[in-house]
Amino acid sequence: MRRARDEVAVVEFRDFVIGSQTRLIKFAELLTRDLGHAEDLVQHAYAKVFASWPKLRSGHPEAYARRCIVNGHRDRWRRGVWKESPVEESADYADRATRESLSEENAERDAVLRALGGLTQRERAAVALKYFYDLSTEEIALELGVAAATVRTTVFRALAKLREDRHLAPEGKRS
Amino acid sequence: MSSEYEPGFEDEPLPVNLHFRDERVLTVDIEAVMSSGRRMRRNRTMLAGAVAAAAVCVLGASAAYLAPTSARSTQVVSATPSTTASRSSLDTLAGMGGHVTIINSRPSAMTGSTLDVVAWRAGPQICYGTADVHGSSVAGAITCEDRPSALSATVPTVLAPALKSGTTDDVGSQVAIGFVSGDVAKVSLKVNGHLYQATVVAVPGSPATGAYAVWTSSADFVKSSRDFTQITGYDSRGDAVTGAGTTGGG
Repeated sequence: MRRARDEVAVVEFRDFVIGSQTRLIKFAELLTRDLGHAEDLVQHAYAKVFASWPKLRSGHPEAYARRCIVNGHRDRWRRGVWKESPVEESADYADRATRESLSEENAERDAVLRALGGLTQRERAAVALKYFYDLSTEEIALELGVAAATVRTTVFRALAKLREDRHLAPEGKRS
Repeated sequence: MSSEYEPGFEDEPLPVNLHFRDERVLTVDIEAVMSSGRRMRRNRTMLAGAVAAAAVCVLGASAAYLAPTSARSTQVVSATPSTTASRSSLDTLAGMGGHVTIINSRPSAMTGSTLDVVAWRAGPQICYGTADVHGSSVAGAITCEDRPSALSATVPTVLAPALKSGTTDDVGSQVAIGFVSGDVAKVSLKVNGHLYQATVVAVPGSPATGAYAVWTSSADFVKSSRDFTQITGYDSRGDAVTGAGTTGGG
């Protein structure tokens, strides 16, 4: 009986992962600007979701995973696992731009990630939740654990920074 | 860059397209995820179990610490466990939540019930006497007096008993009630060549203090504590640890 229930849970979880993994990895990449770290965060978030799957299956497991990703990123940032600060231009992506023969797709992705590099990690999280996941201000506030007014201010500042980003001039009209 | 918040800005488009075209195949290792998740769940369960066990231990330790001191002092003075009266009338008498120890009991000729020898600690005083604990009223003779300083001694000490008259089947008999401190489990008393023995019972609320009582025979004509010619305390191993005491206790 229990074995059958576990098997059903595994199948459900697989379906959930297959349906959400691309979105979550992209979201984590927008947050971290590094695919490797993004995949680590998502992997860890999925493990946490699976550990609590019986409770989460009927709720919003993807929202829980997002929170795990945001918190995981913030914790790593606090621990200084990787040091980062808003910079004019990401050296990593600038180097890659010279090293790689970028396709148009890569160039667009790199431009976005480079632009997000000018934001703080909370601004990136708020922007990603708002414009990638289309969450409302209240939902973002809930996920980030801050007040709705803080979210509005954070997004407002992030938008102002992005508008002033000189690298975004050609892409600016695209959204 | 303006840092002033401007209402309505949320309707403006983002200068970057977060839904950029991406042909990459982004997947996670589901088996690794589930394995890691199972490990997390197992650790969480073990942690919860450990926390629960720790909580039980803490509660147990707290309960043992907060339990009536009779249990603790029993160990200290090697006294035997005794019944503890819980009658509200005696509780009121003791004023300490019903921790009155019955040292021993005898049938009462007057009431047909039992006459109990009781003792307890009441603040700086120590109380003792006879009462019908299980009867309808706490009829009896209770004496409270300042706790003798000799009972604070850590070395085994036996105080001479005080006498209380108790109307038992043996009309004219007296009950001798005394106190001990330290490792004294049994007391023997001699009157007119007649040897009496009593088991020490812990006194609630008074650590390391015990009480003993003997019902003397009316044939011995005991009139005062000075009639006891030999008072000896024995520890839990049965060794004599203290000789005749002549201080306090009555």
